[in-house]
Amino acid sequence: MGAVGTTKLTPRRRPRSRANRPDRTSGGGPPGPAARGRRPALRAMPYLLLVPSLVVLVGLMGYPLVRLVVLSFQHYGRREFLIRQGATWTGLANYRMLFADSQFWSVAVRTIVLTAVIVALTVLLALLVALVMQRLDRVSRTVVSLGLMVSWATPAVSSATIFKWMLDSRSGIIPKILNQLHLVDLTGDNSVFLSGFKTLASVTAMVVWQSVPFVALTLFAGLTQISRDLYEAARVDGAGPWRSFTSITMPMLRPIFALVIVLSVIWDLRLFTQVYIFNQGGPDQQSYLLGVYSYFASIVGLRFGQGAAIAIVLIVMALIGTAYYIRRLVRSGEATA
Amino acid sequence: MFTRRHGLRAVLAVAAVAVIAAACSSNNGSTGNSASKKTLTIWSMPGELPPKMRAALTEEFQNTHRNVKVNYEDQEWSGIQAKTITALGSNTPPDVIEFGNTYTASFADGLVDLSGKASGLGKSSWFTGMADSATVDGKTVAVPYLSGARVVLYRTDMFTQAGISTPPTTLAEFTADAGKLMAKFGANPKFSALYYPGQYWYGALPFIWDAGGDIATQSGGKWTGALDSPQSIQGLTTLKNLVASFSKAPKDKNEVNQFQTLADGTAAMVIDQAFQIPAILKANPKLAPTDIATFPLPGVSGPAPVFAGGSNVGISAASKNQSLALDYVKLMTSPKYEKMMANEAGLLPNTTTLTTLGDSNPTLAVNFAALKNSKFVPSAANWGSVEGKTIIPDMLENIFTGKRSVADAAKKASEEITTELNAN
Amino acid sequence: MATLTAPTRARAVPGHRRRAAVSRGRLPGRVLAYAFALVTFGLSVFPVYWMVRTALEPTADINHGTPTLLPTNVTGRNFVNAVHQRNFPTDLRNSLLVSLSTVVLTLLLGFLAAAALARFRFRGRSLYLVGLLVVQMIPLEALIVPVYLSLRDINGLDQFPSLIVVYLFFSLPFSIWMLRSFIVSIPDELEEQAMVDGCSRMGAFLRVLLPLISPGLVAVAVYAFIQAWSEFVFVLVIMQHSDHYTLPRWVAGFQTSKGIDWGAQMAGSALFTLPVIVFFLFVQRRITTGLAAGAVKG
Repeated sequence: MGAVGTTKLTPRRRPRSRANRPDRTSGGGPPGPAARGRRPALRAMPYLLLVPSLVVLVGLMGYPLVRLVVLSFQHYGRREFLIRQGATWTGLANYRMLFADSQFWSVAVRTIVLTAVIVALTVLLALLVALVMQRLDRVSRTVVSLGLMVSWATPAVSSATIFKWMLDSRSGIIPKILNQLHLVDLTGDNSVFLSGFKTLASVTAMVVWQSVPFVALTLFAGLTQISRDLYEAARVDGAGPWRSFTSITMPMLRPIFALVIVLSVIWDLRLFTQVYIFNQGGPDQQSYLLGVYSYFASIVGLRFGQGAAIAIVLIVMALIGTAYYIRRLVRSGEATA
Repeated sequence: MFTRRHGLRAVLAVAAVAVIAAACSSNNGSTGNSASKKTLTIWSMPGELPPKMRAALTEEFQNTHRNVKVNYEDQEWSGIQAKTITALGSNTPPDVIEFGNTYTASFADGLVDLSGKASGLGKSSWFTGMADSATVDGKTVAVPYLSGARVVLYRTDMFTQAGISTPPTTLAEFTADAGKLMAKFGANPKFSALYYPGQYWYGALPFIWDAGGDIATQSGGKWTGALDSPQSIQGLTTLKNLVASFSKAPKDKNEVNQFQTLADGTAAMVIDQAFQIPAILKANPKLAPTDIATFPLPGVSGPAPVFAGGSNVGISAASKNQSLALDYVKLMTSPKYEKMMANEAGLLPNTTTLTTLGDSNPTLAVNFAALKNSKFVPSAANWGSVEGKTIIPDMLENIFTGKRSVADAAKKASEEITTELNAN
Repeated sequence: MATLTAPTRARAVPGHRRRAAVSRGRLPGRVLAYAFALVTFGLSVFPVYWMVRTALEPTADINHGTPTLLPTNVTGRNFVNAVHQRNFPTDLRNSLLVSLSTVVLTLLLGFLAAAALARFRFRGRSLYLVGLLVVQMIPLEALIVPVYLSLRDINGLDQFPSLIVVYLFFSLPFSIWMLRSFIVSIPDELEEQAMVDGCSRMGAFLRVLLPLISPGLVAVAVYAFIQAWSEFVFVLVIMQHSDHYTLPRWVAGFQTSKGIDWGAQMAGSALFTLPVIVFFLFVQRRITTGLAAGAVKG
């Protein structure tokens, strides 16, 4: 126990190479007599272990997804909803109506642009933070990462509420500070909540504030994995800091970049709580994103069919946004290793 | 190593306890008492009724229904429409729902048709406007509960100081008086002669109606938004000018907090319900009860038509306790409790048999007078979506901030209203 | 996400574990780095600090005073007001119940699935892994309506188990990935040794694996807890009766109930937020380890 128990489980531990691992199902089997009599049971075991999680995942993803698709081809409104029957098949009508609506297009474009902006800002700032953390002493680094944890751990409901208060046009701290600095006036009629652009900008700031920590700490963890020898070798070869950065750091971090970008894309496409609580998609529906738009169409507007069509568009968007990454992982076999 | 394992065990232990607790608590909620004791769940709007009235009502009900527990759940206003509709659509809805009467048509399909029981509920003596608000396609789907017309609440002491002896009765007088108040108190940069928050759409309706405009009109089964009619635009322009000259209220807020400004003297007038008066007096104990009074909102000539907002009470179609719920609704809306509600809260009762209450209660008298000249939002099934999507508050924001011209903002809102009301 | 094999794996030779791979640089650079670090720290904690500060300030100062970094007057009044707002104790109990149940089930189901995926080769394994990946790419907010309708069909609305299962769904895929990567990194020989010593296979799993992956379990537990504790959208749609709400609805709810009382609002947010932050900080090192293990190494 001693040797095992005290071994620190660090991510740097080298995993056993795949080739050495006995293949359980095709005879390799664990040694010892204990295992021999149990082969059939053993064969069923992984499936048994997987069943519970599979039930949850399929039950909550598979069935609702099918239902969503069906709904998007139906006329399902307030009446059908309340009397619980009478949904009629309308083919592509929901989609046709949606694509003919200029609001849909502006919301869709807004969603894509906002996601791109938030992801870009998040990753850039996080990279900067990670590189800076590398140059700090241990104590300062711990302090900074504790600070990052604070914003990371803050639930979306709270951060939306806090930012709403900080940006309040009468007593909020941010308009007051900006007024002192004579930068931007956010008081009175210039309130953040009266402008679609300012609302979206504030949402961006809020989401970046919350997303940088995860990305920064992940990138930092990645940086610590890069062998010092590489940098030393590069220095010997006469490479400056910028050169080392572009030819060692960046290529080494590339897989991690791919990971954090994909995760950020998916998280930011999903934005709902912050937008909903911050300004209810307002003013004048100018901060509607696809998720909020779908919610308002179905739950508030009681046009469930149309809400479903919007949701499908959002899902397709998310899959397109991440397909390349998933395909690459599957191709390379890393995902299933 | 050890601490790590202990930490984990602690987490697991706590979690296990929680799961067991969950199992236990859900047990005793659903199966434990249901056989012997039924629970009647009632959704109500927050802050309107005095608690002692609710207590008296519950007590009387339980005297005749011994095994029924009455469970009140106060709702928040925000998102109320979505919340109520998802509850009505579920299999476990509240049994009795009190809701803003503008939502009646939206909720109708999820409510019990009370047409057959209407006479027993006193329908014949309901105020006509209130009865209409509870009727959809000729069916009575709810019981009117209360109504509160909006009037102007004002500070009599400030009026006196500004040299105004009698409240205005026409729009011209109203504007002139507001000017006098600004001249007297305008040194305070926060002072509003009329405090009017930008999202306050109930307050805007009288101006539209008084000018001869409307929200939407119906012909041949089709709704058409009418906020962009010349009359409506004229009314909105009047309001815009009033707000520009006399209001310092934020344009991104609604009216919930506005009574505070009368209390602290940063406003001399607000358009609100008379039942706010006690709250104002409570917020500033230095005010004498006579410092706050009301007058009907003036129109171009005489009082402007006001919005007859209020609450109706309905029974969920999916409720498993419909007959109990009906008994409760009957008691809740009976003249006895309507009278108590009117006297205690200054709100209008549903029945014409109680109009004499106004003789001894000036607040009620103003309310009754206003109700005679009241109008209502379009009684379209999809009206709830117009409110849920905040179409009119958005329009007002655009108008007051000058982001759009009155005509432009009104046209946009009108088109949206047309779309919403005709969707099915 | 144990999805990546960092190209550095081969080079990260055990024993070669110096922390910073890059030299700390020259003086001006370091000053700049520290200045940037200070700003980062300040911006990260300021909103949360401001929440706490506002929560401790009397209402009159909040509305009319000039804001200072430290409040001039301190009061506990806002917290009292917040706790008396609506159903705080009930909502707190519901939140704990839902979150902790989610944690337990996530650990259990996650561990079982991770063990299967890490220790066995079987048909459908790759499919399952890819499935886990794809599932995480689908925005769940898009499924609100069908989840609502499906739950209605099975009388599952307004029920805690429904909410718990939804939250389980939120946390499971990531948790399986993460635990799997922990198990993969533990040599088979340890279990085999234990089995030779007389343990059953399950016994070997539990006695040998479980303690070794405890940092992963803790990280997963915290992750699942925070997900469930913070979730707003589904509790908004699934739960109907106010005695079934969780704290996010409580926090969002008193925004407009009786005007805006920022002091009480911030006090309420603080009561909801601070436990999460403290909890998170308490296990932060393990989270970072788990994060690195999950995200960086395959």
